[in-house]
Order: sequence, then C-alpha cells, then structure tokens
Amino acid sequence: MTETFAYLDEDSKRAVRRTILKALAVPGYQVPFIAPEMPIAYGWGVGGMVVTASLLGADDRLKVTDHGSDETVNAVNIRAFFTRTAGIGTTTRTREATIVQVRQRVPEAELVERQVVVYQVPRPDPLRAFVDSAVEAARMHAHADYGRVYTRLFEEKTGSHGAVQPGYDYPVLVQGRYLMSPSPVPKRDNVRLNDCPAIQIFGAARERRLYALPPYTRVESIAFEDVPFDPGLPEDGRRCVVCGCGESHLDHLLLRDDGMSEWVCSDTECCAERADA
Amino acid sequence: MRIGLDRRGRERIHEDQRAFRRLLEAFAYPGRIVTLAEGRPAHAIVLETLADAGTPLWIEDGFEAIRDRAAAARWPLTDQGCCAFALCRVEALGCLDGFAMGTLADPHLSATVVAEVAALSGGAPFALSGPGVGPEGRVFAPLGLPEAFPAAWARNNAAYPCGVDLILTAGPLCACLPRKTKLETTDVCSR
Repeated sequence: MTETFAYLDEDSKRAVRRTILKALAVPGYQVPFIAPEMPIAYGWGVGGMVVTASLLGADDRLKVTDHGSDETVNAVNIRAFFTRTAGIGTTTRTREATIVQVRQRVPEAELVERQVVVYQVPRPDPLRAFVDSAVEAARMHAHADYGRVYTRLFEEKTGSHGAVQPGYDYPVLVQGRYLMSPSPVPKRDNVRLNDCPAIQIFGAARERRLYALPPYTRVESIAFEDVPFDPGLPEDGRRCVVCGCGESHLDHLLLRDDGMSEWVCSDTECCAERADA
Repeated sequence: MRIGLDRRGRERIHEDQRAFRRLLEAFAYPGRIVTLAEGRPAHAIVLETLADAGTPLWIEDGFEAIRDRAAAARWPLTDQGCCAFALCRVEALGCLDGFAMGTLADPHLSATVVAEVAALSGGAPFALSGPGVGPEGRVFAPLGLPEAFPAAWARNNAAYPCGVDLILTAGPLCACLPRKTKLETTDVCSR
C-alpha cells in the first residue's frame, strides 16, 4: 500500500470532510470545495473519487457504477484504484456496499440508512443553463430567485413545439429552497432522490462544488401545480432482452436488421438478479 | 505559513476516518447519539478530525487540554465572532447571536459550535423534524441545556439558509443539530 491511504493526503481529506458537513447542513446548496487532484483528468469522476477517498476506511465495501453498470471502464477502474490504494473490498451488490459511487444513475436497488451514495457531477449549477454569469447564478441561489427557471418551463409546456425539456439532469428543488442539479441521471431517477434513507453527496471537481442531500430530504422535480412532473417513461412496450423487465431504465442495445430495437437494463445488478430469479 | 506536525503516528489516519464517519452519521441523522471514539472525549475528537491551520477556533475557558493541543498543532485561535469552530460550555447556547451565521450568498461560512453538555439523554425531550429525521420522527432529550436555548435555536432556524450548526458532546458521545433541524417541546416522554 502506498503511504497515503486511498491516495488522497490527510489535509485534503480534512478540508473535504468539513465541506461535506456544511453541505449536509444546507441541503442542495453548492459549497465551494478544494477538489484536489487525483491521478485522472478532471471530468472523469474526480469529484466523486475525492469524496469517496475522504470517506473511505479499511472496513468499507465499495460499489462503483457508471450509468448503472458495474462493468464499464470508469466503474472497473475506480474500483481497482481504491482496491490498490486503500486495500478495501469491493462489491457489485448494493445491499453489501457501505459506499456506492455512481455516475449518471441513481441506484435502482433499495438503499438503507448509513449507506453513502457518491455522485460524480459534471455541471453542478442548473442555473448556468439560464445565465452566463456565475456571479448572477450565485445571487439567484442566494435569494431563491428561480422565476426564470419556471418561465422557461412554462414556455416549454405551452410552446408550439411541445416539450423540449431534457430527458436527464432535470432540475430539482430541495426542501423547497435550493434548485439543484441531480447530475445527469434520467428524469425518472429524480423521484428516487426524494426521501431517501441514505446519505447522498455530489462532487463536481471541475467546477469545484460539492453539495449533498441528507437522508429523508424532500426533493421535488420542478413542475407546476396543474402540470405535474412527467418522469418520461417510455410507452412503446420496450423490454430488456436479458431479464424481460419493462419497468427499469433501459439502454439502447442495438438496431436489428428488421428495424426493431433491442433494449437492455442499465442497472446491471438489478438486471442480473431478475434474470437469475 | 507554518503548519503544525501531527505527532499521533500513522494510526491517526484510521482514527480520523472512523471518527469522521461516526460524526457524519450523527450529522446526517440529527439527534442520533453516536460514540466518536471509545474512552476519549468527543469534543476533542471533533476538533482533531476537522480542525487545521485554516480553521480559526474559539475555545472557551475550561478546555485547557484542547488549548494545548491547538497550540501544538498551530490551529489559529480567535474570538467568538470570527471562528469556524467553537468549543464552548453549555451556557453559551443560551444565545447564539455572537457566532458567524454565514450570509445568503455564502451560508457555509458559519460557525460549527461544539458544546459539552451534562448528558445527551435524560433531559426535557424535544421532537425533532427536518432533513435527516426519518418517518418515525426522533426524540432528543439532552440534559442541562440553558432555558433560553429553544428560543435561541428557533431564531437560528428562522435565519435559514444562514445559521450555526451544533454538535453536542457528552464524554465519548455526540449528537448533532444542523441548522435546519427544528425542535418542538414534547410531552411524549415522562420527565
């Protein structure tokens, strides 16, 4: 094992740990954070890795997924990195994991108290889609001045071209106060952020921001009273070719010669469990 | 800047990590009582885990051992209004107005107040609500809080997103009240 446990030096961990507590104290607020360097390029999950390194202990079991999959390059290599630098055990089962680091999905398996979900976040501030200036965005957050966001939402709902909202990274309102990016998870995953018994921490290294959701926090996707949030579930009857599930989030696998698409579950753990059952 | 040396040896890495994870649990689930490190005062563990040369501390009289530790580790000492961490006796919780509350733009720049109480249970019970409190709710009954504390805490709640965060310690035990946790006096428990 190297001199520093989990790669990161103790002084950086200490600063990140302080940031995590302040982020939990103000759910959804983006706390500036030091985002120390890790031996991968910013943009490949440094924010998540820094948070994980600051949490990780010898007794932890780590699960890492990338878009729901335990087997992608990002997930395999982050697991290997912490196995090498911290000597910890890893798992692909959510129920065995104490820390779950994810990218682009909220775990579909049930989360429990004391588990920590760490999200890798590319663009932490949902307001930057509306204003160019970080200063102006910070002012808007400070005063909960989110009128422009709802104006855009209204225009999209009533516009002649129908809905043009993104299918992922759909902004949420935390405890009725802070507008927050759920990270680029599919819209339907937003509902899983709400009232979750686990601790959820979001790390954005490039933008040097860290935010968090304490357990049992109210998280609502932005919507109007008379036009509720649409989780964007597909209605074409598509099913996973491996487990046959039609309810989970499905990824496009391939286009067959006859023009039909094949789909597969994005969450490999849940898919494998259903396939085995 | 001169930085202080931590002379606790390599095992400190794991001590700090374990203590932080327990503190994280206490902070994420307000009112839950956790042991930070067996046989050691929790208020000292909190500072050892979180403080460094970049965090101004305010240490009230009565915590001489921590003062020595702060001097050895070169934690900067300051007054109540400028501190990032405060270590104080429970009497200080009667009025929280002297601490940094953060600003609307930077609510994270508020003090984290560590206060040693007589015990974390056995006092007048409060029903907690807010983030981190599960569907069953939680009753928290620290012993020996000043009479003015509930009113001071309600003012702290009202300043949200600004406000101080509170870590109560009693011997090796600790329980937290982040700024958004609301207290309601309750009679569900017999006094």
